[in-house]
Amino acid sequence: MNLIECRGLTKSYGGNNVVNGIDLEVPEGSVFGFLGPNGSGKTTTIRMILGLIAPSAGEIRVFGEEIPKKLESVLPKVGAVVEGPGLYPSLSPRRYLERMANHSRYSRPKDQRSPDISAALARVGLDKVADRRSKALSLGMKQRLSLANALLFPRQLLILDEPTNGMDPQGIVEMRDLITELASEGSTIFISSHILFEIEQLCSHVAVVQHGNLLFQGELDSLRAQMPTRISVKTSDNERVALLLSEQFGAIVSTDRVGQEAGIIEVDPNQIAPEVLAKAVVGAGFELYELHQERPTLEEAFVSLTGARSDVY
Amino acid sequence: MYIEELRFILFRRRTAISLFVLGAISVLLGVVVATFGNGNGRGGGGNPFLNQISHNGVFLGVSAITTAQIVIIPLVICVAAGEAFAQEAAYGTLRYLLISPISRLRLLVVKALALSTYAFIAIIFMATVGLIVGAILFPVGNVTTLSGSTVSYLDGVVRLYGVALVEVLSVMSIVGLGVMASTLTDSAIGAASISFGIVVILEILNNIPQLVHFAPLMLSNYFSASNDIFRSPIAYSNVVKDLYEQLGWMAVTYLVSWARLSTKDITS
Repeated sequence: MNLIECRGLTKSYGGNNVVNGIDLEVPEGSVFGFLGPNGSGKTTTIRMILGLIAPSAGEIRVFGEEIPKKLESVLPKVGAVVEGPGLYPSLSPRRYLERMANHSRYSRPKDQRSPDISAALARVGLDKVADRRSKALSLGMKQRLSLANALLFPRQLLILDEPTNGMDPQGIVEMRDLITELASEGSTIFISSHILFEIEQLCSHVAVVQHGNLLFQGELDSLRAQMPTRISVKTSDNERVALLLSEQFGAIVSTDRVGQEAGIIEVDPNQIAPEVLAKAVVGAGFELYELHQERPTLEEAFVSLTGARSDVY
Repeated sequence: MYIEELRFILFRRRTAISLFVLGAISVLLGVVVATFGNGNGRGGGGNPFLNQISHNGVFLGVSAITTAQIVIIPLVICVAAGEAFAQEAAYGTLRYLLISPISRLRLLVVKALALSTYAFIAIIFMATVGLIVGAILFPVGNVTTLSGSTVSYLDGVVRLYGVALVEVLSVMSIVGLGVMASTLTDSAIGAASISFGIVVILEILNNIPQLVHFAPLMLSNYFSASNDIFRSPIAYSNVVKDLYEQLGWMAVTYLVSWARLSTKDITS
């Protein structure tokens, strides 16, 4: 079952489609990375899913229910961080969570009306500043408070929009551990980020958007599979090995770094299998120092989909 | 939700400052009259209660309210009501409230109720400060009404709170205006300025003789209804007209607020 399902989701401002007919399917139990350059329509899409913005066209279903019609029955099951923290400068973290819980009181079953605020604060490491004014918190701490708010109640779906923005490396590691933990508890997590390295470590599925268009969606591995892999080789004489490989196998050898000291050369594994390559190099009397087949990183896949230049609209 | 919102409004520094200012009006007025006397014969302006203060302390609270009703009370209310949605939007908390979740309609109702309660508390507070300061600085005893008859001090005190309640009724339109302005912008100060500006403009229009036929539409037209509480017997006809007028303004402002809020894209 898909927890989030969008069909032809479109939002236009003044004739300009910020989100342009996106079809999104977020399977239950997935950690779903939502990727795109700045201004690609990620946040607008998330706001439409949460009923904050009305779509210009298309439909949204969350837990199979129509949005925004069924918002009140859907949202209690959803925790979200949207575009950074939104806090009251003079209220403490504890008071902030209390206010959010008080206002959403009547949308929850009776046994869920008094959440354990101290536990929620402790979970994100804010127990020591729980009674300090929010304006005295660092951006990373504010971000954690937003997360505590999203985790205040048991949630089946978490929508996290750039949750690590402004966090220090330690915070980012903790966030990653927390997300892994939440996923293992069975929550479905929809996370948008531009820190691809993180997404790569966390996500089972990804979607890539640019200029409001969906460029890819599916399992992370299938995105990688679309990308060419390569073999990097380091030998005693890279230049002559490159020549040998292209003469013997007709292989296109990337010569970018040929001839450099400690250089490597790169070969497409579809043209020469690694074991064949190793035999050929050694058989010709060269010494083989290194050989490994590299999987493309998410970053490379992302750039190949969206183009290297970052267009900000 | 309602208690949360009321607590949110009451326990913040600007509320304390507003209440301090409202209380200070009674003190200031009392000290000036106690020091310089009634000022009888000078000016003879529109406030029928000012000259009575030195005769009976109960009129201090009444005078404070009727003096402040044109500018300071509307200002205090516009500042608080203007924040309702605009400040939440500016803080970025509106989106978190809505996804927490609370429906837009519920949030509007809760905020309107809490702000109306705040107006009630502020005006009753003003009356009480006036009553206490008046009792300290001026004679306490039987009260002479505007009609010339005499009623007991206790009756006078009850009438003072009657004046306060009519004033609470009279500012319901201003609460509505403030909330409405607050749904139209993401700037709290902007919303406060817009709503207070409208109040002032309507008061100016209210005083232009050529527009006398439209005067009943101006939200401040029946502000003087509170005077009638100190007549003997109490005259309710203006209070009733005020009630209708306030209901009309509330209907319009809250309908506009709802129309705006229910269709608004929350991009803040």
